[in-house]
Amino acid sequence: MKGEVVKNYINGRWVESKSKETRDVISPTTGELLARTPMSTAEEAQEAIEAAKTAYERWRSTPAQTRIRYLYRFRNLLEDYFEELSKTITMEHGKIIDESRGEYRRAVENVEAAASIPTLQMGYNFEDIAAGIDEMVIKQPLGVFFCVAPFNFPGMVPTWFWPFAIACGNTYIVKPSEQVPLSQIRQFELIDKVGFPKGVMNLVNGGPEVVNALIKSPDTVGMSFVGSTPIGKLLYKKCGEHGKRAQVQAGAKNFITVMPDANIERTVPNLMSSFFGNTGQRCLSGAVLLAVGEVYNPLKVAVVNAAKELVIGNGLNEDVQMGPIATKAALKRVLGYIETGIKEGAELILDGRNVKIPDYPKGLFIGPNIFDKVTPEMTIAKEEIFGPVMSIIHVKDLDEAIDIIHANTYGNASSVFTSSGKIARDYQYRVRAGNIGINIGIVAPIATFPFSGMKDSFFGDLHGQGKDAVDFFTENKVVITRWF
Amino acid sequence: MELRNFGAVIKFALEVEAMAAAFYETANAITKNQQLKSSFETFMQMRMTRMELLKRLRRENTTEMILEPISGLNSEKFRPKTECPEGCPDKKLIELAVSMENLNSAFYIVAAKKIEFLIEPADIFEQMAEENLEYTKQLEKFG
Repeated sequence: MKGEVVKNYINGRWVESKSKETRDVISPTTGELLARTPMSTAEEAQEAIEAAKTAYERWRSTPAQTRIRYLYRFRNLLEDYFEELSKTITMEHGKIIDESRGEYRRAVENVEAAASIPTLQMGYNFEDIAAGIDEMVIKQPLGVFFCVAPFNFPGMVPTWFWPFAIACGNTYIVKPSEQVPLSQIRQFELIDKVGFPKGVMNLVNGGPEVVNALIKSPDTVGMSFVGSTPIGKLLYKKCGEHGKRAQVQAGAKNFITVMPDANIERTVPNLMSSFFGNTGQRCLSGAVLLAVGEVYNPLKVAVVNAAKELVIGNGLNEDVQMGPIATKAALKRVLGYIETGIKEGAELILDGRNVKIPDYPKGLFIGPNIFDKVTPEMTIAKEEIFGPVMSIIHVKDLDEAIDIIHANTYGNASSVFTSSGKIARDYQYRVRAGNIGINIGIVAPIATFPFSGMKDSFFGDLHGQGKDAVDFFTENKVVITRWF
Repeated sequence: MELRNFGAVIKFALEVEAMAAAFYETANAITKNQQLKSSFETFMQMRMTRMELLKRLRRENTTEMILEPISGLNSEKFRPKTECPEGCPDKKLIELAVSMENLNSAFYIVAAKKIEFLIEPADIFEQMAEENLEYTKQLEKFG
């Protein structure tokens, strides 16, 4: 595989892209070239659309119980190849192996949840809406859907969507992140092994040209996207222009509030996972720590001490707790934000720059960074950094914390650490964020719940996973009947 | 070495089980006592089964919501001495086995507390600790 151009999977077979333009897939740990991603053409996207469109009618007529047996087989293959799949994520993305395992576990759960489609896709009916007349709703599939996947969860995110989509009777096209295509390539090798009818599942590597072709085609129905807010907004608008359904899960700036009555001993490990897990490259990562009242000083000391202890290195080593940043560009961006934080007057009390891991001189490593004396107006308190940077703001009370949260444009997730039920209830009631944690730093909804998001963190109506996914991938058709 | 992640804990548990399986395999080859030989063979098989169980626990219980650092669990305290030289008398083999089982049990008891946020693995660790003590009782009958 090393240095090879990865292939597309269209109409049940692996095909080489005709495009000469490629993007290197570089290991963030070793710096070695792992593979190259072809920037496939609009014509190749169209071939996938044609295949998916052709497969659709036959697939939607296939009984749901038969459709989900493909998912069962796929699920079993995920279990069989679990360690190898997890290692592929770590290899191409850099996250630690336990995080990769966690990612695949959620992928398995999504496939399992989608296998409940014979229950989830049931419609409803009502007799005698007028004399002798009955009414019902049938939840019907719609056609060809596609997803544009992000780099930070290359194994899991597509499974928020496609298992539900095809279980409902749609056909599907995955466009993986061009930075990390290998996890999807490996998954599609398993999809090929399962033997789905040709055209039901397709994969097209590439960039904007592929995405534009998928959106503009009159033969696609809807898009699921996970990525940054600027790109998400743009694609959401384009989907609107072309009459597509869209669920756009975008950027984040997650505020974590710690109250004076929080259990610090239990809170701090949770904060480490929230702010520095996945090297801060989660849309659910903590970004700003709002320390309320007198908890500020002891909390600051505790988080700095705990962060200093985190072991950084090759994520394949079980003892490592933080891997590298996924790409050079991302590392440059994170370092830029740290510089900005310093220039704007925040105090860098833990400096994770210049971390060197002896065996990996080309690795994109950065340690945990903690800023103190941050104010809500500072860039590092407002913008998404997407790296291991904690910005501490000292606030006087919960109201001030919530005002700061609400002043931010994002609304993906927010957590409060407290031992007060009243405060916890206030927080979940008042805070405008899609995923709320009470004494939980990573608010990752399980497969049967929607992955929510608000404000500039989500565009659309229906989220990924759970019943939302079923509604997104089906249309409610109303039938009113009378028999003479 | 400090075990800081669930994955590191499981990796060490797998090492412990592999060492125990290897010990019983060697001990089985050394002893001439047929009853003891049979017990060593059983214990070796049990350890192989437990390794599969540990792999399943790792596969099914790692979720990102609970990936918090673990502290205060040092593997070196729990690394057993399992070398049994050729011609080692049965009494010494039993002593080594008992000592290993006790140490393994202690590891699983301590580790279960460290991973108590993962209910199934914590319960199974406790169960393994009990099994180790049960093996100890069986081994002591030979003494």
